[in-house]
Amino acid sequence: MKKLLLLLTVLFVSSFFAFAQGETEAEDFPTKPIQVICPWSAGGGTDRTARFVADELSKILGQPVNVVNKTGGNGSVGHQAGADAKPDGYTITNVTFDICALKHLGYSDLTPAEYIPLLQFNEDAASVTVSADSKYNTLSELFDDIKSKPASSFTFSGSAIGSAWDLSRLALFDAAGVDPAKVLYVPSKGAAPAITELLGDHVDVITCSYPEVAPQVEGGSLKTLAVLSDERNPQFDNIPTAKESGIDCSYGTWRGFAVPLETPDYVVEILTDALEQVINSQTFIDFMNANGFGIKIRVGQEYGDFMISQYEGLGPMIEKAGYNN
Amino acid sequence: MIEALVSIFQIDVLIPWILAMVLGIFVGGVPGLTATMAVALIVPLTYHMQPIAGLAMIIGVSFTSIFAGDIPATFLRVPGTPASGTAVLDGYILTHKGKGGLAIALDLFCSAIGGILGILILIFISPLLANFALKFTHYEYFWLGVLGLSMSTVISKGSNTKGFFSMGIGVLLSTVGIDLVTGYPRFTFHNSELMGGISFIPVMIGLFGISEVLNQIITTNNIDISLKNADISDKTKFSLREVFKEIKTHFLLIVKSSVIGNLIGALPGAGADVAAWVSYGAAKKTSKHPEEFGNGSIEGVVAPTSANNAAIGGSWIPALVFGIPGDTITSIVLGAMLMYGLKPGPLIFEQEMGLVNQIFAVGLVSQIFLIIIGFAGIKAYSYILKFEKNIINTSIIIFSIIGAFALRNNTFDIGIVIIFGLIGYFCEKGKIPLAPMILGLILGPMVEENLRIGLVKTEGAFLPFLSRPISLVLFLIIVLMFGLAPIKKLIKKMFTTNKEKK
Amino acid sequence: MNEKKTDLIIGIISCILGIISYVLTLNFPTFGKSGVPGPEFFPRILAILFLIISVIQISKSFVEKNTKTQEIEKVDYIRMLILIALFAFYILFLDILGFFITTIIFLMILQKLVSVKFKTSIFVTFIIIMIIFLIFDKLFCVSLPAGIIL
Repeated sequence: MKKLLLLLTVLFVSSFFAFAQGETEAEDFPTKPIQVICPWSAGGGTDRTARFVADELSKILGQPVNVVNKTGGNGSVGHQAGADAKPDGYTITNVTFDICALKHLGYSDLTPAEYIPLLQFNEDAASVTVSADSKYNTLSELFDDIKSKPASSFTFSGSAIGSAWDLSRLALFDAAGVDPAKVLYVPSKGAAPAITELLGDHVDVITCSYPEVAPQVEGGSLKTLAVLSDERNPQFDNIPTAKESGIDCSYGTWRGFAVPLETPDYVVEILTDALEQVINSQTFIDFMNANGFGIKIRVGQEYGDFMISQYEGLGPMIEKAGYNN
Repeated sequence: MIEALVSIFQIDVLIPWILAMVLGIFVGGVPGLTATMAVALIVPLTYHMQPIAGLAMIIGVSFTSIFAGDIPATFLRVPGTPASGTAVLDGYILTHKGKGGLAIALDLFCSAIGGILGILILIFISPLLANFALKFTHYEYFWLGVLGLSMSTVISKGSNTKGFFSMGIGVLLSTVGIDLVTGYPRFTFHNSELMGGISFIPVMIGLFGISEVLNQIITTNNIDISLKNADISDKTKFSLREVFKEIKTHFLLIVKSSVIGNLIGALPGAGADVAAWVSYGAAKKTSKHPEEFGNGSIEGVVAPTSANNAAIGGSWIPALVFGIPGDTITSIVLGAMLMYGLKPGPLIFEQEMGLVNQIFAVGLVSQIFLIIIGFAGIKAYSYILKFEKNIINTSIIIFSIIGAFALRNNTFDIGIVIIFGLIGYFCEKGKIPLAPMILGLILGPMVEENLRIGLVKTEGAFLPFLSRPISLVLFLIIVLMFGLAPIKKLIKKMFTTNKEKK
Repeated sequence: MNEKKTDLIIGIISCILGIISYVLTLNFPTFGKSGVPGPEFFPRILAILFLIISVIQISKSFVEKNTKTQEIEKVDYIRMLILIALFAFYILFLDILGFFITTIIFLMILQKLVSVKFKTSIFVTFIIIMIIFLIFDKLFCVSLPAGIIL
């Protein structure tokens, strides 16, 4: 019995050395599987893009790349785990828009400054959608009525409080010069339940990305008034921008990748190069198009600056809405 | 339709389909692995197949896994999937009475029948049901939640105060985390794990599975238990004739439960787990032998398992008719359809009728495969049960722990499983029923969020909760369910006293 | 343990739960608009429910006769404490030692506790670890906790 225990210990100690050696051999990255932390649940949009990129990434890096879903707390659980991970490049976080709001909402002390940004690969603008038999055909018609009618005549929905589509609504009202408190906001767990509410005529207007409502819009039961971006999207160029209705607002959500602070430079470089290869490939572009995800690329420092500026911009907005906990 | 039937019998559909169904047995049989995880894993593999092959895999895995979740629930008291929590209530007792084989075989056949009925409803009246489901909003979901919660008094044995106590704990646990209505983090103490809330699967595995193992390990002189477990594997035997006899006796109940399950599944705001609990409560409430429920009732096995499989068909209703997901699996399906180059949504019935027929055919044929593969699964599990009891207990503990971890890749959930294992153990000692706690945890948010969001919409007025037709009907059902018995008693009393006076 | 004692214990626990949850809701914000219940609404209702339950249970325990029910089961408290310590070890060390080492230690001690033969337990541990590794790590791509060292 003692012999066996001894044997086991010897085996373990030797395995430690084996692994330790693997790590000391610098410049050789990666030598073991990489994991991508996805702060959102399996099967969702973020998860699907993460799995696709992970697959392509593993072909380039020659090591398995696994997606790990760490969900909960409006993304705070996953983002936190990603920031706390060992800074060796073997844990990448699939950072999303929500990282910029977490601290303002009081869910976490995390800010975008707690990561080294690799790159951003996606941006989905919010869109404003109403029922097909609604009398509004443009965003300005809708807002004229919101302005003229008494408070609480309209109900909006789209996502949870303080999530992307709710914040897009706030940005839109800000740009239109209307107090967001003039409409009722029905919180929902995500875009899908909000769409259901709109189809059942239980709410009047929802904000979410266009691809999320595209099946119903093309099927003739819903109508998208405007998309909150600077230019029309070539994938659905029949949808006007908010700017065309005289409301200068562009807002939406985005996805990207980042690693914990203190990750060695050469690792950051290898990962960034590999990711750039992935997102510039035709298969990736086809994938994004098939799903209706918008492509927007910002690399390294540019991406970091973008996150910080968005983080700073969200502070006053969330405070104004009274969401700061 | 026949064309569709023939078209699904090709090798490159059949092989992935059957493989997925076998995988489903694994997924359901191991606590913590969910059908959603399996589907998320399968979908990227199917991008290069023909659409129906991918869809067949998804449909197959969801049917087998929801059945297979009942296998460990019945044999070991470990619910394998969220929807199999009800299977521990009577199935496990039946196993101890030496009828585990009968229970699980019945479970399998009723799953298949429920599945078929669910698909038939999907085929024939889905547009009707989908439009009905759209009428549900916060007011209706609130009453549905209340109806479900009130089941906890129906299903709990013994003291009602203890039942309420248990339910209260469940609801209180469900309030931990970010409040959906205001975005305020409740009871989180600035802890990022608590921010994510307490998910009910680890709680359920702990309360039922771990607590039972603890009981067996800690109680040293429990001759009763060791005797009971000694030849559990022999008790997995059963006669088919007996199974068919029971199915015949309870056929109406199976149909009724399947319809309830399908309707609840069709609602985007409720799923197979709610369906199983509600149908269990409804079965007990309308049963001629309600006292048998929780003591090894056949009805208690039959009802929830028919309902949760019928709910799968239901969840496809809003997905196919409107392109809105009925649950997490169908939301993955809608995403996968985009990758197949299909446009999910209202147009699918016009443009892709062939595919829709194929989906229906796959759904029906899956039930036949389910019976065959299900039996193999039961057989495999029976082998595991042949091991020494202590080894089985050890394995249950470690698989529950790792399963809980796998759900959200979070060590926090391991703590939850263990803590609730201990809580479950002490609750059993204090004769506090466990089912209401699970029910409170599942339905607490449904009641609270819908009440409060409903009031946000009406700016504080409660009237719409009663004035809308469906919400009124739901309210009346609740009143009748709990008011009818006392009123009947009262009338009876009045009559008897009158007679005495005469 | 008899009825009377359990009722009293449940009453006390319920009372504590009620008070704690009520006190914690005191610093919850109340929702802006009148008539709309805020985040404190539900927990407070539950707190009141717990207090009512505690009154019922405690009064019940006083009314009940002290029936001495015979203890049917013997509980091995030492085993229970070791088991709890073992669980605590697992949770605390999982992220430090990693899945493999922690699980091996956990399984070996656990099987010793339930008196499985040593040779059998090595075999069982090996099989369980292999199954978990294959199903969870390889098939479902769940990355098992790696630990700081490993």
